[in-house]
Amino acid sequence: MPSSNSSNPMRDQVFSLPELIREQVWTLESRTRKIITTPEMFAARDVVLTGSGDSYISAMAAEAAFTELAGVRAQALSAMQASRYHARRFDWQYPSNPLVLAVSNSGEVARVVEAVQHYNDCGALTVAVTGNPGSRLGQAAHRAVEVTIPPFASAPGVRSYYGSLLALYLLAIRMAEVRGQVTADEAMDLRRELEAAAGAIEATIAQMDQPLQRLAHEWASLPAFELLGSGPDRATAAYGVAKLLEAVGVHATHQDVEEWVHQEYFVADAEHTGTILICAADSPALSRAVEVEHYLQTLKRPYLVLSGSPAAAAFGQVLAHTQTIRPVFAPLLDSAPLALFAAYLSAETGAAYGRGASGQWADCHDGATTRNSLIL
Amino acid sequence: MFTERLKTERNGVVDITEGVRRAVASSQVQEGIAVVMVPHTTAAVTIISFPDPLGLEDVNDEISRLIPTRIDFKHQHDTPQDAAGHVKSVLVGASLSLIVSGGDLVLGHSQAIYFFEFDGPRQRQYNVQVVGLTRFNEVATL
Repeated sequence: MPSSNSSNPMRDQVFSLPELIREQVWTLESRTRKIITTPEMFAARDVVLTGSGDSYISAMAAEAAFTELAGVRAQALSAMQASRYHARRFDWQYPSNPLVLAVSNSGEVARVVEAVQHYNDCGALTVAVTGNPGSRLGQAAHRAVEVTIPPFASAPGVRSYYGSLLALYLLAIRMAEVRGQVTADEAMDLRRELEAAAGAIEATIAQMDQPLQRLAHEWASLPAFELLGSGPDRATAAYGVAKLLEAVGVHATHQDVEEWVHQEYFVADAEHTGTILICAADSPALSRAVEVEHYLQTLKRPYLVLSGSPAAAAFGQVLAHTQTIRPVFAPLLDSAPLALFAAYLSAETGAAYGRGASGQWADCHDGATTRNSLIL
Repeated sequence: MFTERLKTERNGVVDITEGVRRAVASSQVQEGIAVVMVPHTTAAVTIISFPDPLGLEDVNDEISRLIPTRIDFKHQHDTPQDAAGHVKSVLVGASLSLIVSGGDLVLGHSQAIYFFEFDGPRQRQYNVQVVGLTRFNEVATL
């Protein structure tokens, strides 16, 4: 349960996640189980995960699950990259290849619909992962997995992101099972790990609630944020940035841990650039993240490392959880605290979500800026 | 009813003869019938010659040659190995009826009872029900 009085819809969404996961994981398991036939599972030599915004980030987060669990080549592509670049240049030699998983909660995002249309034209198998199977995306794709998230007070996407993430993880587990990468029992254990993430998130947000609230108070006046992470942690960093942009409107960017040293390291206003370094337990990027923390200290950046045991012990200024989760599922655990931080920052600054879709931002009312785009 | 649990390998074959003998002994039945049953649809139980382990492998290999793991089974709720396992289980059988005499199983000198796993590794079990007369001519079941 929330432990402070500063409730807001985004914060409430974060605290609703454990119950949502417990509710949805087996429902989504049954919806994903046979959406792709066994011959199609074996026909897929490549998996393309695509979407825009949070949906693209969920694709980034799930990429490693397909590679590591299912043993298949997988790549997360933004809808623009998928539609205007990749789909048109793919080497179309095999039926039902690539397997395209196109994510959009509304199902009406123009570029994702366009990507699916191009992949269809070239013989791919397209599956929509959407909350609205009757949408343009649901209609365009060969199949649709319905990810219906029970309604909640409106806020920048937290529950919908987790719904997409669960569906993609379940598809990766199913692919691993059907292709013989894991046994039926091991696949069931992996599904139970997703369910158990609910308890891990519950414990983590309870533990981090007050520290994140204090951090939001301390950092409320900072003009810019950078979130750093590698591998699946990069997706978590991207998600944190998306929430800061939507909830607060503050300038925020995400970067790979190594690339940051080559680029954003040189940002001049270091003392006013809030930096969150994400390093999941057992992260292969740990040694580099430790080096980066040293640079953050020298630069006098306001910073925090978000990590879990045992990696957390390597850092000095760290907000650590004590929960364990398989590295490929880490975004499930680590995204929640970042959404909570954004929720508190919005409360501190009084920022309206999405700038209230008014004034200069009126064009985006009802998602018009993402839906109303020429489809080529 | 006697139940014993097993942890199987991918396509493992497990000798359960001694377990079934223990079930018969604990039933105290001298003359009767023992039914061995596997409560699974991708496993089976049968009798095979045991002295040469390669003969056992031949049986397992031939079962797999008859029913190879294919991707075009209609049953796709689980996996291709599971779908093939269902067919193999039907062919080999899920139960055995055995004669009990003199308080022991009546088996040929080279016969042994084997549990076949077609979709492992899994946690499995087999059940034994023994029905017959004890040495006091009382009807007993276990």
